[in-house]
Amino acid sequence: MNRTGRLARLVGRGLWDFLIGDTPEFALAAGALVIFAVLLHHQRAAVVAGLPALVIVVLAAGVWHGRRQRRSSTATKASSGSPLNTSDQAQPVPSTSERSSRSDKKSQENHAEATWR
Amino acid sequence: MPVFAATPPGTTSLVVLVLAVFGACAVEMVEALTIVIAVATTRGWRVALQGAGAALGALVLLVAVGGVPLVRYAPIDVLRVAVGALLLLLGLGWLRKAVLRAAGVIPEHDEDAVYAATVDALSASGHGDRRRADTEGLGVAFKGVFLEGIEVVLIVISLGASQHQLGAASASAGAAAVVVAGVGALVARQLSGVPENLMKLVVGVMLTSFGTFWIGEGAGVHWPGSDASLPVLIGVFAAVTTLLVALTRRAEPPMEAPSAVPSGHGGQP
Repeated sequence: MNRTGRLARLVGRGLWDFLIGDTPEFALAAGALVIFAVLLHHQRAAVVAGLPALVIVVLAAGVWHGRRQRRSSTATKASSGSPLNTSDQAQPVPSTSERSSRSDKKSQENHAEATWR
Repeated sequence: MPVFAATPPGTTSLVVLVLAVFGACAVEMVEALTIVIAVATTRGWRVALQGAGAALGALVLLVAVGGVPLVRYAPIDVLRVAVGALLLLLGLGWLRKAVLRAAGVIPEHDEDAVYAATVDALSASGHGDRRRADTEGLGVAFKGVFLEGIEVVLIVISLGASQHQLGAASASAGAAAVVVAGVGALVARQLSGVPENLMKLVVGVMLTSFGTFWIGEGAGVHWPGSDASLPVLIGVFAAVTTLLVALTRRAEPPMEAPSAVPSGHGGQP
């Protein structure tokens, strides 16, 4: 791919990340809000009151979804690296330094994930 | 045809426009500055400034190519609805992330960590071959500034075009870039003390308010008090955001403090 193509791809990818990214629900909601406003533009009061109210609902839903997503990803990580297991074989209890190291690794992963999003 | 569409924008919306663009550009440039300083530390200032300068040039070109035809040729109602949807999309995205960060669900953007990771990545590669090292540094500086700047370009074009104030929006973005670059040059390090998340929250509220306002205006709905309703929308969204932060924080267990620096990533902020 030549330089122009690479630049176009970079721009396209950047735009996609910024506009859609990990929240496609916002893109759908923005489209739905436009349709709502266009269809009801003769009923001014409905749009003036309804549009901000719907935006608030969308924002609250986005935050709730983000929190849930975060919790489920944390739970997945915790279960995959958890010292708890279902086997009968006894597992050694991790030492303080091991626990601290795991905790550091987990917070490092969390940190890296959020920092680079 | 909406009544307001034919009237020029008022002082209120112009002030909010200038503040929103300045804030958005400042936040993004603080993030870009971290990458540029990391490149300067490992590859030298010449390479870092060349990369950053080329990216700024490309961004200015994008504003000219994307913004001017929109202002001149696009039907104002269609433009305002499209711009409203775009601003809403950007604003909601910024707000969601800022609320989650403020509530402690995800860690805040850490400029020191980004700086360390970029320095690590650049130090680990390019040893021996000076030319290759310079090209890599140039690429990282360019990419850092360009990717951070794309969002600013979108905001400048959409806010500027919808109010026929492309010049004011561009000047505001330029002023923010100059201020951040000036402070960065003075202290010669990344600006980790800047309250980025708070700025993101404020700009997110402004973008969401503008988005809601322009969707209504473009659809032909005349807001009460015309653009005087913008501060009302900003107040409402700011109150809701504060409430959301408090509710999310209350529902969220305290997060472990980051104890180490991420590594192995390139210049993607």
